[in-house]
Amino acid sequence: MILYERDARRGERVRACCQRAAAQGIRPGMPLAEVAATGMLEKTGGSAEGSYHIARHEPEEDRQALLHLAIECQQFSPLVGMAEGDSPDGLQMDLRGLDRVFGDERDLHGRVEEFFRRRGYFARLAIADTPSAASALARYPTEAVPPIIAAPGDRSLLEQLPVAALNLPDHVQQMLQHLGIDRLSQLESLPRASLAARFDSSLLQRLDRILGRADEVIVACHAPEDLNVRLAFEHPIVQPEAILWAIQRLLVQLAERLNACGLGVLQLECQLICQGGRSCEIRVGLFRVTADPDHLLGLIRMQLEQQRLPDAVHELRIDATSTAVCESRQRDLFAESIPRDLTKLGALIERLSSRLGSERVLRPELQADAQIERAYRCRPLTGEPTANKAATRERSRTDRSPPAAPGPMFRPLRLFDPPRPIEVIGIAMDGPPAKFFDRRETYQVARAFGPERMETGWWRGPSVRRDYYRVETTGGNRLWLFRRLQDQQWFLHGEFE
Amino acid sequence: MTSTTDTIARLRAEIRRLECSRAMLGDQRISSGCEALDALFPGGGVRRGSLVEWLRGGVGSGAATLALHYARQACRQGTSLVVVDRLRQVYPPALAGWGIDLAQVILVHPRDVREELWAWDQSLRCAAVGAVWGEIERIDGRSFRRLQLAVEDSGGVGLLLRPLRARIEPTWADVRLLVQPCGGQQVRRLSVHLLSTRGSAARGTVSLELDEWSGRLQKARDLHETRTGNLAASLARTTADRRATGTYGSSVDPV
Repeated sequence: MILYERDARRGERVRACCQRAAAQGIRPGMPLAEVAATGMLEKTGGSAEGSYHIARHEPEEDRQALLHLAIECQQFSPLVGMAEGDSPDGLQMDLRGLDRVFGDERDLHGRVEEFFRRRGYFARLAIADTPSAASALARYPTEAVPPIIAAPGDRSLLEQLPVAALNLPDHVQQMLQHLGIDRLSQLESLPRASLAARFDSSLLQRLDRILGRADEVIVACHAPEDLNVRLAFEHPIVQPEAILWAIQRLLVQLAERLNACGLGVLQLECQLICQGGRSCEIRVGLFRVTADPDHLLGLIRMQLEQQRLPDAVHELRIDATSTAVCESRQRDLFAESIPRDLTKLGALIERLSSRLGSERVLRPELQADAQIERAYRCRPLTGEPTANKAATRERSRTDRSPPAAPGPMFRPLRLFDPPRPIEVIGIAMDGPPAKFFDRRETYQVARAFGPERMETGWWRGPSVRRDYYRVETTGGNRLWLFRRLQDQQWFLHGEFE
Repeated sequence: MTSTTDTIARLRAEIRRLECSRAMLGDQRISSGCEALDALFPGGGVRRGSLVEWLRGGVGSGAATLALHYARQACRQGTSLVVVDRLRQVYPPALAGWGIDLAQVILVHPRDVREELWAWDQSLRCAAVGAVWGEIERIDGRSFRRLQLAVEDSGGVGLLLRPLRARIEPTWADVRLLVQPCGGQQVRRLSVHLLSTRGSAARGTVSLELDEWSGRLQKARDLHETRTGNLAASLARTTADRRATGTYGSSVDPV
């Protein structure tokens, strides 16, 4: 198993790999192409001998899985939190006062180990006085230090830990290595004042946390609120008014729950379960986060009107599949015009997306690409909070300035996809056409501007090589033609409408 | 004589006021940045809360480009531009090329004509939309009237790109224009004919030039008086006339 991540500058890199892969010499940070070159790759995840299943690293999914585990671990301790940092990779549990329930710490250690093993995880566990000490012990197990430090305040054992356990930035770690410091005890023997001055200030803080000289808190994880509501009818109903009334009741319930945790809906799924096991689903995506039941009802109604219910409805379920923190803005006393316009725009986008489908209401964005068809991309405007954020983040990292727009006269407003093949009579072999035929019309070329050559990268599969001409006919019509360089075939690609 | 013209002007204003359901909108005009083109519209420029039909007099005529000039101005204050594109042929980088901020654009791809008209209606009705721009191949009178009422309510602008055959159909647009490409010139030249306006019998024609590099729109420098005169005359003939004689204006592409 190999997980890879995509780096804007360095391409696809191995992020993590299993022990078998590591034994074959695969290391995190290695380019994926290098791994592929060894011929051990099986993208489809076949289990053939000597091949690996590879997948893209999804930090958000990792986080969700860890959160799930944290919540399950609440059976051991009332206070379970994730290790701090951008990409948490560990759990912390507060074991204070638990000896009456689970007996001694060694017993608890065994139980937790068993818990993870049953779920198919290999977990490294450690028990110590402070969260930092425990996670350092778990991550950097040494023979000198047992994974359970029973005696409180036993610093001598902790001082045996390697400096890597401080989890310092690379350059600080390298500096320590140069100085020949590899155990915490060596750091301890140095004067504190000079440590703070010479190294990162985080060094002392982390050292203190491990040795129990600084306070530390575990931020507890909480189970997300269950955001679905359902209603089963005693008698199946068919009247649209009755169904809508029931949906409204459910939405009010849902809104109360959402308000309680300060959340709003971004995506909603409404399931109408009919008799005979068939069901009808309505999906609503939103542009703005909202918890307003009336607004949601309006959007559901618009889709319900278009659907034919297979049979009488006997159960309704509404599930908020995607939520986000509801932004509540204090109303200005006077300047109210701009927010009001925004709400109106949001309502329009939601209405359009709800009836036409979110993949049909789009926002175009320029992309830095020479190929005509790839010079822009479209994003749906509703229901995609994470994707939007990811896109903006990615953009800010990869290309800081947005790609420049083409000159007004250089790209046609109307583009044919796919380009239409046309018959052409030309004078020069590699020049512009003199005459061409399209849809039983003959056009005489009066002027031509070009060629504008377009070639795509060889690494993107079948290459596109074209010579584009802006052409004006004797009648003044402006068209965009190109010659495919591979076979000299001419195409009409657009109109300067 | 002057009193007669004054009376006519007064009555015309009165009619317009009665026809426009929202008198409080006033008479805000949007300018394209090209005086010659604006002068073609009665009152100068596109009135907020109105529809304008742009008839295409041939392929690659430039009608959409001219309409886009008004769309750009209508969305100056940060309002959105809705592009309704059922045929999926609009090329967004070209919009950006004409100075439209793509962050203000909402691209809508309806599946069929019914959804297309619905999308138009919804977008025109929204006060946060500055302009709606797009192709409408066919539209019946009732839907057209509904669009007109929608746009009057919101104070936006509807810029409808229509095929040439729409010329014989009744219209609810404030202004109907025909854009024709003119060949045989040193620069890209278009002639714009005012076919009809609501509440006035004004007709007119203007020749415009688009700069090859900057895309700047300006009045053509040397007007071919005779040619445009003939055109205007041929266009002024009624449909019944044309049917009776069985001929079309020589300079208009028969469709």
